[in-house]
Amino acid sequence: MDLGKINQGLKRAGYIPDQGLASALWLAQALQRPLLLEGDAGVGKTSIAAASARMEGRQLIRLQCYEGLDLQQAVYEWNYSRQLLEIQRSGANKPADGKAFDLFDRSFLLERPLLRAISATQPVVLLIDEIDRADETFEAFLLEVLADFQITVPELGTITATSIPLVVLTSNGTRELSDALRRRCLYHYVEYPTLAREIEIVKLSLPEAETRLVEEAVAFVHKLRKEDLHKVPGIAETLDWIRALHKLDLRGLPDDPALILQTLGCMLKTRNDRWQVAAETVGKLLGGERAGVTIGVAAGLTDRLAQV
Amino acid sequence: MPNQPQPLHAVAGFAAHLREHGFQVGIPEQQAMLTAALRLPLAQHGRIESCWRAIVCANPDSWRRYPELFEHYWYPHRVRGSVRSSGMTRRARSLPEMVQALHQEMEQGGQKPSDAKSLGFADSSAGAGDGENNGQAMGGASSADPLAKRDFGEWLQSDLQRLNQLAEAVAQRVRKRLMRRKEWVSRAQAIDMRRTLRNSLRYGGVPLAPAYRRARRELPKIFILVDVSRSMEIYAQLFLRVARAFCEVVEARAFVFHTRLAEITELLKKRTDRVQEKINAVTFGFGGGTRIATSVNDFVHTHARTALSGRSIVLVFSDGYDTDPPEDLAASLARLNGRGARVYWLHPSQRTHFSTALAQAQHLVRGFIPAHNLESLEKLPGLIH
Repeated sequence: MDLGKINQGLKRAGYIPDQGLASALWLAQALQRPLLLEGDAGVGKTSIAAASARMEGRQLIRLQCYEGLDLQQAVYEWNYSRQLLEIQRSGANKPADGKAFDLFDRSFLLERPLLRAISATQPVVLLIDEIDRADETFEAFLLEVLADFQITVPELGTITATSIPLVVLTSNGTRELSDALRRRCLYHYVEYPTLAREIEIVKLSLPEAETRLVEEAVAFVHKLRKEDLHKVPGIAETLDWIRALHKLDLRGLPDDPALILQTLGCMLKTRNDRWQVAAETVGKLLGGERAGVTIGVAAGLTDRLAQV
Repeated sequence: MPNQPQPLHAVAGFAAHLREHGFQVGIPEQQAMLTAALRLPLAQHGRIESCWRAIVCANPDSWRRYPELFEHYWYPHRVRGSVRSSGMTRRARSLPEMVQALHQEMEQGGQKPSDAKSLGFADSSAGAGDGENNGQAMGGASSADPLAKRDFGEWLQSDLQRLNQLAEAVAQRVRKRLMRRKEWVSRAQAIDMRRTLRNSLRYGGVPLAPAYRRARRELPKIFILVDVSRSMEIYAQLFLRVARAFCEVVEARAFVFHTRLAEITELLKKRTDRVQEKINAVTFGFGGGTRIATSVNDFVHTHARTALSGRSIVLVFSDGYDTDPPEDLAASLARLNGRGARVYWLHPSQRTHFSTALAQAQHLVRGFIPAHNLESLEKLPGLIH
């Protein structure tokens, strides 16, 4: 697919990419290499895979990694109960052709996300989410899948991909990934979006929100991100906050910091951050007195919040 | 020497340039770079920077450093304040011309643009070296660099052994902490029922392979920040040696700074005599002076942002002379403390001489430890807790 088409396609699928990300996605497809995305939580790493799948009409197969994730949950598992039943059945009724059944036939294999992606007849998008949460042993196993798009099942042999999936790995950097894994992947660090791009993202997701509200709120979030916060609000938090402000029928940011503080729970998710961003800080971020916001709107917000 | 370098050599030269700055760019990466350049339509050659960035970068640090290196190599005239490291004049490289030449070369050969190997790149000697044939010999040769005169090879094996023992002693001293997370082991007191039942499926429900779990014990994460500014010139070698011992023995992460901060953990782990040159290359382009507060800030917010926790220990090897405003160091260290990290300041003199910045930040440092020679460093395990 052409680079320009990827840009357009992602936009149609509801994702506004920057130039670097579109290039990385194009390259991942052109070189058939996995794409490793790193970045802070909430910058939209996971949704890139979903948007790519929507863009190309591919199925999205997601593997959520966690500590203790093992091959049975990620790759394949033998259907032991079916195998036992089959043993009992074949003991009672001998097959007419006299052939013993194969206990490790493919029909007894339960396909988990990785094997499902490899054996899909149509190319799919495989999302391996938060790979840094998985153990190092599992990461080592992934090397074969990511380098050769094949999986070895000892009882069956090597299963090679019939169609090469687009593999997207995400990591929040809670653990250092191995060099071997990094070298098999293309890399993109997803930064917080620029002001213009974030406004575009919010407008795409919340077309019904007032333009002035969106612009002012996104500008406020950008200033907030420069504060020394423990958990910096991501795009998802911006969307939640503006959605909340829109539900309160606001057409722009209110002047009163106290009113903004009441909705900041959408963005500040730790006690320390809530404590740190007091009315004074909000006032500073709002840039002092601002014109164009009616007192009526601000006054009505308190009642509305009380009702909610 | 031809006026215009051949496209393959230009790419190999760029790869060597990146390698000199700590990037791991081997033959497969260079093949991928060429394939990307060939696949990209000529009209979109401007995108080559972001495509190559995806190929050669592997972590946030290299990701941030890449644009500067790209500009420095392909558009040196745009880089302000750049210093020519040799007296030779060189025709400026042109990326568009290089990409165009690459396409032409491919078309003349009647080959598919997708196959970089068909260009004979794999056999090209230009990319196989370790940066020697680049001719630029980046920062390592600069006489302005404070580390250039030091030779890692002069150390005796017994000295290195002592440093490793020191790191081990510190590791034993800092107690392993019980983690909330569990780990699976072959023998322990608590049976992991869920995993045991799952394992028993293959034996028809008989729990023949019980699984156990216990709370994980982990060492606190140790970070080492080494000041390599001019005032620390004579101590830098000792401190980098200490940093290497910590990296090897307790998997610490090491950083160097004077006006900026750069991670050197991977460079230190490599057992090669050229470590010094590589560190020089990484720190090449840092300006004069020492900006401790800025570097600590950068460490907290960028390099160790997700890694810092209440179990972290940060060892700062510096004399504390800072060209940032004096109050900034206290603010930076307060942020570091705010993340739960314990800061120890290793001072390269027998008695701690407090600079203004350090005096203001004194209460934020858990301990000041003299570290002017190997003997004084041996007291380190007793002072860290």
